[in-house]
Amino acid sequence: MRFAFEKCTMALLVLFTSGTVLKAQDRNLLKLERSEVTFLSEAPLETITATNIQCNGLVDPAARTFAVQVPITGFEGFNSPMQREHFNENYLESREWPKATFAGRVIEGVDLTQPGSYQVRAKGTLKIHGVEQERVVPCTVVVAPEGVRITSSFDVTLADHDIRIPRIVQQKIAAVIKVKVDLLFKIDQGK
Amino acid sequence: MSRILFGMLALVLVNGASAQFPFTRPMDVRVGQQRPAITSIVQDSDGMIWAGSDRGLLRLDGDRVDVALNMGTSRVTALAAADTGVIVALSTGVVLRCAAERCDTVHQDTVLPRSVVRAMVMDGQGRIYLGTYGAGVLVLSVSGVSKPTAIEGLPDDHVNDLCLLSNGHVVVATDQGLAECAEGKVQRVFSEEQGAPDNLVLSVSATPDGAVWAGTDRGGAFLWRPGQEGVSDDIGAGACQGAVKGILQLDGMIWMAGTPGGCLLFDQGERTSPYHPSATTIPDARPAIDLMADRDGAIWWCDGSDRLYRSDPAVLIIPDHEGVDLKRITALCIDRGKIWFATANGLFSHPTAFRGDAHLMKVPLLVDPRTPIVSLDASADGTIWAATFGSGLFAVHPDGRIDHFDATHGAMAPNVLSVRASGGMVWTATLSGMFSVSNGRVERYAAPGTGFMFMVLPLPDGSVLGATDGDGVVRLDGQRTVAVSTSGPRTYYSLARDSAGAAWAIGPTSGLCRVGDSTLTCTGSDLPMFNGDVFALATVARRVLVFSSAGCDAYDPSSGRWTDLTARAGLEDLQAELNAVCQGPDGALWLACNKGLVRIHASDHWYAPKLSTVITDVLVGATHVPVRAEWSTKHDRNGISFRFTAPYYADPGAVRFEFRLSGLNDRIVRTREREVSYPALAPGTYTFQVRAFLGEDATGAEWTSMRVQVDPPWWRTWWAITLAVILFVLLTIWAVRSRDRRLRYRQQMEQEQVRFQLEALRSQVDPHFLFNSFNTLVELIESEPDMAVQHVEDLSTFFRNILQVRDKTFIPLADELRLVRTYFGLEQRRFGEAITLEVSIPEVDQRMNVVPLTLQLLVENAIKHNVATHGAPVRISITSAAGFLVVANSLRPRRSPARSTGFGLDSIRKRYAALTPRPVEVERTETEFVVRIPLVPTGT
Repeated sequence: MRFAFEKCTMALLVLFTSGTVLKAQDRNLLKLERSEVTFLSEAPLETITATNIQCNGLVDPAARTFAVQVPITGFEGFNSPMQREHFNENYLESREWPKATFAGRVIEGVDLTQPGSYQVRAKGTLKIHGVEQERVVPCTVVVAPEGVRITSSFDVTLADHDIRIPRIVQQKIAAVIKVKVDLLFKIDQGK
Repeated sequence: MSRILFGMLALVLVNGASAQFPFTRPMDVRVGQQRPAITSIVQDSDGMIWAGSDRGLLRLDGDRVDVALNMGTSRVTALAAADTGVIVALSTGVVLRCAAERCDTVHQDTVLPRSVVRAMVMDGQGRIYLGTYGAGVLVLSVSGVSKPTAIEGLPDDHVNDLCLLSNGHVVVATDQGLAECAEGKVQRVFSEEQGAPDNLVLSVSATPDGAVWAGTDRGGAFLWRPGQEGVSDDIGAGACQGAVKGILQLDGMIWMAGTPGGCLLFDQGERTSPYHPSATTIPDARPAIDLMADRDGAIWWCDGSDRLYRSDPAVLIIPDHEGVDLKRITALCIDRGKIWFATANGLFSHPTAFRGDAHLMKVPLLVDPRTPIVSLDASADGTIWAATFGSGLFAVHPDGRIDHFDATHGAMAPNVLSVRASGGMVWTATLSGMFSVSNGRVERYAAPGTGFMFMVLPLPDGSVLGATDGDGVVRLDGQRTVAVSTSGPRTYYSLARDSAGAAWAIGPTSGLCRVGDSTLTCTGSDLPMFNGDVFALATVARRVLVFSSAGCDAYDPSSGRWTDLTARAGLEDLQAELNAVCQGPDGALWLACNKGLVRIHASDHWYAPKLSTVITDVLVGATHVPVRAEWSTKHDRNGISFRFTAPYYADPGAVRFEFRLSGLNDRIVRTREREVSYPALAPGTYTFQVRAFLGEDATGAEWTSMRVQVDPPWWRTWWAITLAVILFVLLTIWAVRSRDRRLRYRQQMEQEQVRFQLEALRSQVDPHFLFNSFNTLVELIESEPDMAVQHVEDLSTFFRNILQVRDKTFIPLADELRLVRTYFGLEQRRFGEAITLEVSIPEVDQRMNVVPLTLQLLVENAIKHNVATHGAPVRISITSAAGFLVVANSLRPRRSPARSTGFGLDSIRKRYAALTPRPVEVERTETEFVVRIPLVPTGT
């Protein structure tokens, strides 16, 4: 877990250096405290849903940048254990691509250090199944003194990420998956 | 090799939806067996389409797909057109400039490889603007020598798109609004603060008048004029239902990419309904991500798959509207901005603009479905005339009143096939001949023959033409119709008048005929369209269009040239009712057919596309050489292949080529192939010329040429030939001279030999020798008579031997020694002990050869030139050593030298010099005189 967190931090740092203003050490990073990422597949014959609470992430409110990492194997739910196995082994191929990531920045020029509720767009690179897609995702950001809560829902088209569904199960798996995200970030005490 | 697969559109009828879409042809792009994911497209100045994909950079010439650049795992992130070729940005931070045969690196970004180049433009001064996502805009020169400079003052470093304004300024679309840049600085910023609907601008494109259309993430699209306040025009977010990833203005139409259904068509003037390919014609289309307008006026778009789409705004197809199936229209006409059409369900009218707020009007005209309306026309007062096949003629007046003419009402024939209004008259063609209606009065005109008439056409000069079955084209003459011409086919279906006033007719076998006063001049009857059904004839844009089951063909009366427009207009497998075609006042042509209502509104260029031919590849042997105006090759690499193409994406299969290689022969070859090989060209200068054309007639098409020189081999160059001649002359001179010298030498040698023999002979018959010999003989006769006999015998032997050997070149040493001994014996009888001779020669050397009389001469010399006494005899020794015969004698020269010809030794030297390479050596010391003569082995 520690190792994963460090990788995430590295990714975030790379993002900062490539991106906007590089601020000094006083950057106030928020670490992901509690996460709930849910996907929903609504197909004519079957509805599948699964939730992941093992995500990692960082937010820099001053620079309005973020990075979130979702371990694919962490999804729980499904309609049967075999379905979960298929999800990991056949469709998402989590052995080869164990993580999905979304890293980018907030477009709107809001000050995320000030408490309040903001409707923003997060623009970034969504990487699932090893395939990157540039996405602009609408989010709700609630800034409170204790931390930042981000909720969002968006669609993921399986074809965009080169996830192939065999014809025989096309009636059971939707081509477009709905994803709901609820993330709570808090000031990283360890740092 | 890879090929583009052209697929016909599957027209999907969506019930109740109103659909109007440009004719769109999807093309499946294959690289070998692979399917590239195409993310960007651009057309270069040669007309080639370049596509950026995950399989590298592809080049499409309409026929083939070439991989121009394959960089392994790196993707193409942006493409821009350059003079000839493209500029390519790769995900690795490399910017390349690619032409047909090679790519050169222009820029390599090692500092910020993660800030990928999202967009590029090239301005007129050879500067390339790189819009990066994260590092702003970099400007570099096309030569790539100078360091890139950054534009200062951008609202954000995350650039999504760039465009070049007509004044040379560059507009940058960033995550925080638009910025207009010039001279490396930001001049103006336009964002939400200045009135933009959204800060996140994803796409920009410049309009010809210096404004910018910008597509945003959630604010739709807006038009910004730099220098003016606020937004000049906008298309709300609702129209495109999502982020606008590409935008383009073309002939007043705004095209936007990125809507969920694919591509969106928006007519700026009339705000027509949007076009969602996935909802209408291309069910599997994904959201479009890049747009481009080609030189032909068509829009290309890609959706990240292996497909490219080409939409031609000149051809709009309306398959259905408000639940009415427009694929079964039986007649149509246009009047006062409205199109009137009839289906089996009745008569409808609709504004000619099929936009969202326009609706169908159904005319309350009750027509028996078994007797459909087959022809419609409007008269000047706004009355719509509907001809039915079986129920007579109806007139729908503007006030809603309906008149009916048939056998019982006004004595009109019930089976009307065509109705045309002209002036105050309405003319009909029926199965019973021609009728006219004027002020409610029906008149019938007598016809020759059966009277079956398909179509009637009143002309401005007052005359009326009819197309009949059996009587050919007829003209109204008083109260009867008379055949225009009595010869040629007798059946004609359709008539049309062009803008110049000429009338045209078509029939099933006649071809296209121009109707004259008393003749029909026909053309094209051998074309495939006249093999099947012909449906309709129309004139538009100075051309006559024939619609048939083979599609659509246009005839240009001024040039007499046919152009096949079938594939261009998407009219393959056409089925239409007879005469279901009409022309609107704006010049648009409307055709009702099995594809729906088709509106063709095109420029002159569209009807007669001009092709430009490009030589794409030249192979010498197996090597690709750069394509340029001139090329020279060596005589042994004289197998040359040319590959050429003419980009014509509307119908690549229709392109034909003509080529010739002047220098080889001036024969013009016609082909559909795009390659020609000349396996072995003789040295010389050739000009390869090729031109592309459509149809049958290549006149007027421009030649593209390339000069090729096959160098002659070096031995056939002028200098080599000159050198060879000089060499030959020199050699001849040398040969002649040397032969001359050799002859002279031999002659000299023969003289020498003769002289030698003469001398030898003379010395033997020297009076001294004889005198001495005879003195000796006299003495011997007195004292020793026996010896005297011996002496005479010896003398005789000696002379005989001389006679025997004198002609020979060589004699064995043994023979010479015998001769010398004989001679010495003769002399010894005179000198007694005063001369001695020692001969010591091994048996081996005795078999060697010497020149005859050599030894005899030397011995004679030794005796002649030395004082011989008993006390000090002349000692002569003959030995051999190391291949030499050594003749030595003690030296006591006489005071008064004996008379000498000076010939002896000298002669020996000369003869030996001519016969052996080894010289005759003469050594003279105080006491001894030694001559060494080379021994010549036998057989030499």
